[in-house]
Amino acid sequence: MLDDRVRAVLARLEAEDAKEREEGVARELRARQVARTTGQFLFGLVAPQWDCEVLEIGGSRGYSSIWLGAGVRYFGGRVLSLEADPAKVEAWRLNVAEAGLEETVELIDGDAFETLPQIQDVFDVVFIDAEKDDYERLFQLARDKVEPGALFVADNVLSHADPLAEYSKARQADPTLESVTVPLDRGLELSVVLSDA
Amino acid sequence: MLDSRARGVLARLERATPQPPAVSVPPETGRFLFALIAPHTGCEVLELGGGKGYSTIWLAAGARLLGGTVRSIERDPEIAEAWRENIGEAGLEETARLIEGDALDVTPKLDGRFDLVFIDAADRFYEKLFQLVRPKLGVGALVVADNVLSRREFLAAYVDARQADPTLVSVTVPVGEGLELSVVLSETT
Repeated sequence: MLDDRVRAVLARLEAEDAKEREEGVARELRARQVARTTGQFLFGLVAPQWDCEVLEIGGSRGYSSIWLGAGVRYFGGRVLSLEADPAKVEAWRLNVAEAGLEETVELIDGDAFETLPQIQDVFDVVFIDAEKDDYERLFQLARDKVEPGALFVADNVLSHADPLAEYSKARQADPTLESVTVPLDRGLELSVVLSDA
Repeated sequence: MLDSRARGVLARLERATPQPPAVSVPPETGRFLFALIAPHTGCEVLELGGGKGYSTIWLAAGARLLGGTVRSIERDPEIAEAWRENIGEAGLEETARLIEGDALDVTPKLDGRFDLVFIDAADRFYEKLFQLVRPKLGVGALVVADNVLSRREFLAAYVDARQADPTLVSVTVPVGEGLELSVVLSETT
């Protein structure tokens, strides 16, 4: 549900993000959250699905986690979010709690390359929004945690075409996937899993 | 499934001119629709404006993965004939069904509810079609309207109305000719 609590936190995070950009806060210190329209799009992707299990790689301060969590909550889904930066983890927890989503969205604190291989769950949607040089390895680590019909969504494939054009190219050439670049905001690569790897 | 039969027909339809109006949507829109539907279990799809079946094949190939179906409405008898041939050749006649007739007449009479509605009709009917289909949508249903960027001058009012509606979350996705994606948040308008 997109209730008042959720909407209030989203609005605050949007205002904070705009302020940080305006003040020229260094890139690595900023939330670097997705655009509002990308948030709405992610919400639209997950809201219709029954019991949608989402893996988010790169939770940051929780802006996209909140859109995803609000979406999956309609039909009993769940979001597992991975984040390594301690300052962001702290903000993530506060924001998700303030949005009233702590029952739906869970954080795993630590480096995704260490935490991801330990996760045994199967996911319906995997959202990748991490360091650009890590996408390929993160995709490979998550690839055996999905089944046919699952969806990978990778952000920034147009804003960071170097190096992410290679990521898109590899997905589009893979016969076990059907993959398309969606030129919304920073560019999303949407890849449907057709068969097991 | 996106099997070789479905891919064969898609490739044949794309061969001449892989852009509208030769095909009803550009290939990237087809892939996008497929991705949108494929993860849904038992996805009931309504297509308003089936054309010769190009977009229907993408929708039905996606719906079939997890047991969904597609109902497609097309008015023009010659186009409907081509639709049947293409869907038959793609091996999707068990998944996609054609309803011949004017969507404005047919839609109110349809049984059941839909999880996803794809609107690809004449611009001037979008608003009316949306209103007709709205009572058949539950929470979480999606309405996808094509051409909102390529025909912006005619469809801006449709987009504005969806984005201002508190019972929806609606976003313009700039894929192909522009898709307005609207999620239903509550039952009644």
